[in-house]
Amino acid sequence: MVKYALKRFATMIVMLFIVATATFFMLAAVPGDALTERTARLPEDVAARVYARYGLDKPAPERYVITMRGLVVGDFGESIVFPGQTVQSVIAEKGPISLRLGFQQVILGVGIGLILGVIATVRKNTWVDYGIIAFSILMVSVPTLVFGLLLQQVFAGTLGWFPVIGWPSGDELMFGGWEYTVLPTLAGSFGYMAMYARLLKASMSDVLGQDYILAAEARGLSKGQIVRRHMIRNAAIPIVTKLPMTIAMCLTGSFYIETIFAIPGLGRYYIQAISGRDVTMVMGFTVVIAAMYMVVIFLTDILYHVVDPRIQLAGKTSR
Amino acid sequence: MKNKLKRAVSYAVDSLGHVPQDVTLVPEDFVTRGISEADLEGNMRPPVSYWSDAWRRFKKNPLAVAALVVLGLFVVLVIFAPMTSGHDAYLMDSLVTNQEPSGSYWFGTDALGRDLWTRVWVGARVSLIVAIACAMVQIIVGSICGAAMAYFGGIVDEVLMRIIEVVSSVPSLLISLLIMMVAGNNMGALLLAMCITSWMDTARQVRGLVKGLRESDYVAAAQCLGASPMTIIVRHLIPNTLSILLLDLFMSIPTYIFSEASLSFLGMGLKAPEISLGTLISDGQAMLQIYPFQLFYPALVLCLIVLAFNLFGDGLRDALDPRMRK
Amino acid sequence: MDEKNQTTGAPAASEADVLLDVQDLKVSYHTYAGVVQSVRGVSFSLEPGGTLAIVGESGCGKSVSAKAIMGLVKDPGVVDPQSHIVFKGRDTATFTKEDWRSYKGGSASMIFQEALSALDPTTRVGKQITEAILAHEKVSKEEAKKRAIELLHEVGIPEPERRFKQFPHELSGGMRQRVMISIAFACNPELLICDEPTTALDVTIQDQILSEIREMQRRHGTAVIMITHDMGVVADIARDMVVMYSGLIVERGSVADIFAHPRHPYTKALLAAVPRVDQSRSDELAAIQGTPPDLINPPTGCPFCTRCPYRMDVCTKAMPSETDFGSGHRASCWLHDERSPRVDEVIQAASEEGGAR
Repeated sequence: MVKYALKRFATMIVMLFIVATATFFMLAAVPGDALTERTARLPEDVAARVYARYGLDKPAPERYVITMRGLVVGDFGESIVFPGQTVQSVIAEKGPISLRLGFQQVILGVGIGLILGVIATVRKNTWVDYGIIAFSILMVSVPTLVFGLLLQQVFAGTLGWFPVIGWPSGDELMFGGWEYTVLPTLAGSFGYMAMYARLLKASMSDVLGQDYILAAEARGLSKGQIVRRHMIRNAAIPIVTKLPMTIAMCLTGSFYIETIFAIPGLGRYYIQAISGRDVTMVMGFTVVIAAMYMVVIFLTDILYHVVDPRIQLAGKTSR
Repeated sequence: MKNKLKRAVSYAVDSLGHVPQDVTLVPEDFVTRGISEADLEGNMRPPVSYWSDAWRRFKKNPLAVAALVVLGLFVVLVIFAPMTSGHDAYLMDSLVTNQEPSGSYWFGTDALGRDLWTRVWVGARVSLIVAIACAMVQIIVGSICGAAMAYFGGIVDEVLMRIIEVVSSVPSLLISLLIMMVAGNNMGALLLAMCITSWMDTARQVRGLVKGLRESDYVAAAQCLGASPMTIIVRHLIPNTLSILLLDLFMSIPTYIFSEASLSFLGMGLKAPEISLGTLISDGQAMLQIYPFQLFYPALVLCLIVLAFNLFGDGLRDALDPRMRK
Repeated sequence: MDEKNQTTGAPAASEADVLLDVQDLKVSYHTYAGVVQSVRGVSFSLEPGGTLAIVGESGCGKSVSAKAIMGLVKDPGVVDPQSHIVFKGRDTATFTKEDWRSYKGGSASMIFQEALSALDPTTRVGKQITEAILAHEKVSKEEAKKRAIELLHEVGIPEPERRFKQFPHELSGGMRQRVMISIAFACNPELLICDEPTTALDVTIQDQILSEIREMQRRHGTAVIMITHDMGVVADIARDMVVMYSGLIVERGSVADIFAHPRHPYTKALLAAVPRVDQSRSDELAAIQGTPPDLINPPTGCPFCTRCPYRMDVCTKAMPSETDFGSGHRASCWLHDERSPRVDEVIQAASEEGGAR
């Protein structure tokens, strides 16, 4: 277990190194950066000093070494658009916002999705089931972005029940200011609802058709016991193992929601950094997000092992 | 004659040892006939090929058939609809900006006085072409890489596997955004950005399939029976992978339509004057508060296309899934 | 053979010596292609402690009959309401939910063909045994655990305490089937249905498992229905047998009688298909040509007629009735009608040389 974790950690470092290298050279290939415009009208020596301040005067290979060295000690460099901002300061400032948005989306989306999935399974082949299936297919077919815009237009614009844009701050940063969070949370969570309702229904019907459920019934177990002892655990395997990926999806899924509702979170910042060609910030955030993503994948593997004893951590099944 | 007799009594027998009233037995009935080849054959259900069986199942799914019809309708619309209004998709007219939908402008006009009906269908055409092109690239590159990995194994397999591992350890949206940032907002960059991650899933699938097939008992049996490699590829490999690839193709098209729209919305996809559903939605959002119809129509068309693809894909999956086959 | 040994005949005279009485069992499955009539009217009975083999090729309805007896026919499948499954004088149709629960796993239990898929992969094997005990008896968890370990020991599993804590995938195929047996015997059932318990195992293990079942049956006085397509298994374990073909019973009787004088061409063909040591090399193993009929549109006449070397025109026209050959040996074949040519003797002659195993 420990050995496995260490091995995975080492792999992760190597992968991060490759990702960072690839990102760096891709960014180095970008025609022009944020400074090109800013320094266009400045006298040449001033422009050169501006470049030197951010270390962008050096040739790419040298910058690469500096950047990678910085990564090792956690120094990602300074924003070239907003002087003084670093990756750490931006994460400290905007992280909680994205965290809350993602948390609310996952709780609401997965929770309601699972409830719908259970109802659809229990009421199989009734109009309730068909209704839930129709709802989930419909929701899967409406992009988050269109759904967000629609909610914004109807409930914030036409009806005026909620503010159109914005996010709670200050004391209400993590709790309170709900009127701001309702629409973005809803917009982001409908996709998960649809996904989890379908996933649960599929895995429940799969488990229902298994011999061991029949064998459990032949043993004289009651319906409740079969559901509690044998169905839930087996049906949960695909659900539980999908969860970390959902959380990871929140990382990038919020890009749209944060843009639509003008929420000052990490996603929106990343988009702005990309359109503003803020190369140092893009570099730093890409590495940070990739690292987070890799951790999530690692957790998924561990989780697989925990919920399904057949899966061994070497990544092989013993069947 | 014999057939007719069979039909006449087919419902009369309901329990053992009961001779139906309308059947009279004559001495000739008790002459030994033995086994006839024709009967041995006739006993079996007429053999149904995989594809006609799949088609039979597909036809039984009304939603999927409806989706197929709607998709056909959309194809006709994206080809011919732009010609029907008599307006040009790119022609600006300052006299008719932001017109509500009317007899002359069926979907209204945008902020620059361009006919939205024409623009929506031209945009849908672009979105569809991009999505289909991406899906094709995904399938082709994916199956070539996957087949190569399974066939050559060794170093090829190892290297491609590592590449896949590295690329899939980064969220695909990040990669797409980075590529768009480096390569600029053009069609080629968009194709690259959207395909760069998706081919891997197909490659993994094909690799697994081909490997499994190479080791499968029936291919071994076919080899032992003297089937040539070509026969094995044609008879076993292609039919087995084709249904999965076909499914992949249709399931990934709606994803690409989404991605294109989303990237364009973030300003990282196609840019004006290019038209796509994404750029139209993006333009529409700017006018959302005042002229909601400018967002409504492209969004509606997008959702309908994706819905039709999803329903069709679901029906296709149910029809092609051999586990459902009886 | 006296009357008492006759377990496969029509309804027995007194209810006391009948454990299970199945009357006109019909089961159909509703599939997208049509209604498949898997079991089309099957009757047999079983005395306490008796052993009955149900023999037939795959798809003949033997497993479906077993599921019907256990009350396990699920959704697309429907048991005809006219069917009667009478257990110890009570029709299972009158069972309440509680009755069913104490019946399943308590009075009657079942061993499945594939132990790997019949054991929950995420639950330790010990727990799967104790939950069977706890479902039927009011005992403490410790007591149940003790009993489970005893059972594991009884079915020949070494180190039962360690095995108790393992997951199904950590056991070998034979071990898993032994676990299934210990689950089946957990509550001393009066009836045990074995659905091809040895098909998925290799030959040496097959033998061990069979003798394990026989030993447990002897010790617990359980009646066994052994479903199989293997004539060797039949000869090994059963005293009575029924031969099923396309949802119908075509021949029934004691194993000794049927092996010596198969009265149905299908039974004869099945027996001829068993390889024998004394067979000379030049003798080809007899295979049965053709395939069973499509049960969506079952044939009017005898279902075997298209594959039968003695076929007559009458066979396609109507179903033959059962002919009694004494001591419960019966077969449904037109050859035994007095109007038929005397191929009856052909059957008998052929089987006498073949039946001398």
